[in-house]
Amino acid sequence: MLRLVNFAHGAFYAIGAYVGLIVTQQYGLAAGLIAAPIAVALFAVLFDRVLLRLFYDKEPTAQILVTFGVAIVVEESLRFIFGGTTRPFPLPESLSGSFNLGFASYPTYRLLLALGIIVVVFAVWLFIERTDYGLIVRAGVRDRTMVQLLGGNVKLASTVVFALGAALAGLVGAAASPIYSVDPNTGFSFLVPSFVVVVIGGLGSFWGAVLGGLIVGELGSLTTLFFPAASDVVIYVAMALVLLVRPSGLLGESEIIRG
Amino acid sequence: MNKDDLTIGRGRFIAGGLAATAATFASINVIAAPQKTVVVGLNVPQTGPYSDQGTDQLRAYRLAISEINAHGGVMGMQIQESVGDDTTKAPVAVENARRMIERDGAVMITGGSSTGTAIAVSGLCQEKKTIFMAALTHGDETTDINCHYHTFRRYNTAHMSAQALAKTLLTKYGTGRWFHITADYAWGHSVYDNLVAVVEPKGAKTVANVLTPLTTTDFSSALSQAQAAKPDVLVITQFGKDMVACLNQAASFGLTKSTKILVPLADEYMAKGVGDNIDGVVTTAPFYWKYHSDKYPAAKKFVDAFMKANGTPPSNGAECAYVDMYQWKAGIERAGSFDPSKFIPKMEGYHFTATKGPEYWRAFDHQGINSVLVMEGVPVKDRENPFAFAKVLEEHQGDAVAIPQASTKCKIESA
Amino acid sequence: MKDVRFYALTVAGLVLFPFVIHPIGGYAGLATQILIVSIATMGFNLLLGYAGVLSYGQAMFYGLGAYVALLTVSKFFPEHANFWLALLLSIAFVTIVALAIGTLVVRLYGIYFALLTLAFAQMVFFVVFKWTGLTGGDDGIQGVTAPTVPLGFTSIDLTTPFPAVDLGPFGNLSDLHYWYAFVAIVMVLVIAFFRTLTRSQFGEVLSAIRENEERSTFVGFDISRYKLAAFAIAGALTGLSGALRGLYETSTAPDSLTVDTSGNFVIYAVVGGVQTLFGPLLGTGLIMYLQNVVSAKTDAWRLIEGVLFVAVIVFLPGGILGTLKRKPKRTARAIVASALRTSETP
Repeated sequence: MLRLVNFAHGAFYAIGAYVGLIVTQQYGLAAGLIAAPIAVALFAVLFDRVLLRLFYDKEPTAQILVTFGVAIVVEESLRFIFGGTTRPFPLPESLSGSFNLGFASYPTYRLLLALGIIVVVFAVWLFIERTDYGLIVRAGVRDRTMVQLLGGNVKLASTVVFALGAALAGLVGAAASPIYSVDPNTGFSFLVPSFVVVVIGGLGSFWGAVLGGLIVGELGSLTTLFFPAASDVVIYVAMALVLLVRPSGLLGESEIIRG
Repeated sequence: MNKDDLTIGRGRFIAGGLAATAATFASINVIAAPQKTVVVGLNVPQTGPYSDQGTDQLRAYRLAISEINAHGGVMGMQIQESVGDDTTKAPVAVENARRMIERDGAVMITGGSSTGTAIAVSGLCQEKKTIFMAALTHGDETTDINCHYHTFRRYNTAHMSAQALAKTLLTKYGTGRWFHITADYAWGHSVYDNLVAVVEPKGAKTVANVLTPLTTTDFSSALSQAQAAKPDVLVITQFGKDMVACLNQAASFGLTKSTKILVPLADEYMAKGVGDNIDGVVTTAPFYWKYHSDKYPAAKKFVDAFMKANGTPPSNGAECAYVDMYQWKAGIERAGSFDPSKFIPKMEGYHFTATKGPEYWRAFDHQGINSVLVMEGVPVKDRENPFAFAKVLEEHQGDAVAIPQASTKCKIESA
Repeated sequence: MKDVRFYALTVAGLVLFPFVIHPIGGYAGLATQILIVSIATMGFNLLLGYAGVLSYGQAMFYGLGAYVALLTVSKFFPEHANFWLALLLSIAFVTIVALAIGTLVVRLYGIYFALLTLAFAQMVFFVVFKWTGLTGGDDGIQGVTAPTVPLGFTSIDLTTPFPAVDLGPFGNLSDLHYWYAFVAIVMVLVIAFFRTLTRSQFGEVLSAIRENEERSTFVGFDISRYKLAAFAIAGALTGLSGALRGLYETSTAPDSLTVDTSGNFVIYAVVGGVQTLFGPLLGTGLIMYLQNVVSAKTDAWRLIEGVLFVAVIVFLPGGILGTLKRKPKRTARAIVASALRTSETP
């Protein structure tokens, strides 16, 4: 939403995964899923207020660099604190079975995860589209100065959005870890695919990101079916095509793309 | 004015930083090996999918080194370690090994966990004329098409595992439809080729072979294909954490109940990671601490010492690492020199007994010929500790299952 | 005269370099690697430092350089394995790829440029990764015998060490292989090329583009063509670097093509100082020193690297060398400014 390419987004994911893991081990999965987004949001606010603030009016290249640097620092700090080994994220017995859908059985947790994601997506959409706060955010993305003149607190709003985005990454980090397990590199390995999703959908577009996610998923599995060797290449071809033909993405508002 | 202050501040900042860096590392060269030590490079993954195996090998190397040093070292020289984390990646492994040789003067490199890294390091050690005792590497290549004069590998090969599995299993599941999920690199290909070569002539039909890159964490796409294919046998040619993830996810897809599962190579850490899901899974291993320590006093002595030092029994990779260190020491002492050109002839064709029965180093490809165990996993409730994961179905002698000299692709360099 | 001094100092620096790093734990092999990788960082610097665009895909040129060089020797022309041919084919191939991709990417700016180069690099990675028959897939290409360097009258095996001469605390001359001498000569040529290039009209136009793209267009420069040329030259240098690394290591693997590798060039250049001639060398050297020497002392070397990187971005936006270099200029300006102020006061 903030027209910022955030390399630290993967780091948010990783922090979420570790916080989720530790809290879950002590107090159960539900507590882990609550603690992870809160911890990550706090970290994001800190990052935004202390560091990113200095780069608001620098060129985007500098912003990319600083988020990239923080991503490395976070990843390596996690490695330093928790060690480099991959940690399994055990699920409670009740969720680790599989659920019979009639035509095929599907792991219960994955099913719940899919439902959970739909709920979260809807909640975020409500926040952005239906609250006054969301209005400031949406307007702020388009014309920062104008909103400021009208008395909207863009600075606060952008921090809130940044923290919200981070919280989501943290939540997903904790929620997806029982499937993917946790190690310090997880952040980076999710980063690049997430760029693809956002670019295809449209930088700064909410439904764009959702659509991008669906397209990337479908494109991947369709090519796996017809030409498995190309399944990984094809999403990057799609990403490049979108950047070249319509840099604002499928659902992004077209504008002149400048530095 | 402000700008000026800032600039001076920056200058100081840099100067201070450089001085601090210099001060911290100026001492580094002082620790360069004193005369009475010899450096060996321990190159194992401490991060990445095979990190459990790498870390356990490191424990075994350190146990062997401390024992050897306590008993006078190698030809009177104390062994000093240079450790590298190869992160299960070939370029990193090569860089580490190069660093150990060039920076630390290592006379021998050892380590492993992946055939990919082993082949790469083997090539470098050949170029550098440095001994490479490859520990955990199971792909044929290491002592077959990519064999080198300076490389020795004692661990079982994929060919040995496949032959052993075939001998034990074919009567049970020889026919039927086989579905493979295979790690997409040298080792996975090697295991797959070997298995298919033994089971297809007996009537097994290969339904599909899904290749997954190393460090795959989500196997759902491969597993849903397997689920749809309804095979009789599912072969999971994955190792380390990849195998743990794959087998655990296979269980959540209900495949462990509906299908016979083969994991061509497993170890204690993988078994621990999959818990009950290994129940009934058939696998192979070159060494199993419980089986061998009941059978051989030397194995018991090693297992006990390892337990005492680390609190856990050694995995099969650790056993190989331990014996490799001792085999290198013994070879050096037979040669009376650290010179590889004197060491290698003393190793070739050498027969010995360590933690297993009688074994030997084959001269033409530098493969260690020793036995292979075919095992079946047991559920957690039947284990005396989390690492006692299986019962041994059969033990096969190395010579009966190894690649015969007639069909080797190894063209070893001449001295 | 100034040029002579410059090159004399450069050559002297390169001759001393492998020995100077010895007392601080460095070693000759590391010196060779640093020089090789620096060539790629210098190429990257042409983009970020001079053209003002951030490429997040330099790994594709680096990796392709290594693959083409090794394949030339081991698969394409195994009968006539020739060092020069391997280098030439790599550079030619990578330059063509860079021109093709460059034609598409130069139209974009800022984050879009970074993301598009990243996308292309990922495509190249997966093509190489999946093309197992040619590239060896995940295993990469291993154990290639690097050919000797033919010089017409004789040919040189670069792995030959220099004769043994004890240099006390600076190691032994025999630690050094001919590889270092070869790479040092290449480095002098690259430095000369880079220096001439950035001081030419071409370099000035690039800088003008970085400072103000619209005005440059207005003045009548075809920006896209300049950016394309910069992209191709950066690609060629990176390809050369990759080819040398491949032949030096006698192996390569898909890792050379990953986002991590691309990110490394970013770190090297930014830490050392973009827009400077020797910044990339300094940055590459410093970080590779951390990775190879400091790593023996502490596992936290990459944490140090990350903190250093962030600290440089925040406190020294010009990089270490860029900041050091600019200091006297600023001071000079300040002196003039204060002098003017003094003259104004009655």
